Amino acid sequence: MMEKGLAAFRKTYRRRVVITCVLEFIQLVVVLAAFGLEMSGESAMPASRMMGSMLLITLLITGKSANPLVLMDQEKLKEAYLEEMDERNVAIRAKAGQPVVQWLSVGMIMICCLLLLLLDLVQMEKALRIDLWTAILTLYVTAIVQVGISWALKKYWEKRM
Amino acid sequence: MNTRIKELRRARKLSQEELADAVGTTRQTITSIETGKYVASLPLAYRIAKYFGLKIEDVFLLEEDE
Repeated sequence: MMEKGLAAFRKTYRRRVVITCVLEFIQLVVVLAAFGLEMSGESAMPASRMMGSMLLITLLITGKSANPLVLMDQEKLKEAYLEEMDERNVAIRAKAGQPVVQWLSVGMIMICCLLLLLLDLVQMEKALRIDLWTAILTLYVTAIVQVGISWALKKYWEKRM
Repeated sequence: MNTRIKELRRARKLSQEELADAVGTTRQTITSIETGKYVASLPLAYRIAKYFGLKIEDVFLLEEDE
């Protein structure tokens, strides 16, 4: 029974890894584009470092649930399967709002990255720039805070259950 | 909910890890069930009882006020 579940999990996990890799590749292209603009002196503001930190945070958030190395090792895949399918872990994750909060945060950070590139590329009025910058920062901080809260809740429920 | 898992496991000289592997769960879940922090779902309770060759009510003991 477990072998059947493991085979289905492998497919799901592979799909998740592919989607995550595509998203992170897009993000990397955006970071490199911003870095290129900075190097050529065409950038209106130095955004690539902030985008780089966003990419790093995305990697940290998705690292455990979509690790390509897991697909290459049967033992690690089995561990990931048990970790993900185990009913107590499912209950703990549900109480911590995962995985919805994680993926929502990744989405928010990706939007931040794209908005930063827009801010970098397009000439706009100063007031609009400040508004957009405030929106980006708010979105970014919210994403990080909600991941942090979710992580803390997960640790709390791991101790309680 | 009280359980006899620890007692049954010790009688068979089984580690929590071995029992967890056999019933398709994690060691932490077995620990939590044994200490009463977590109540197993019906399918898991069934698998544990089946593993020991007993009925669910022989492994999981419901207290009067529960």
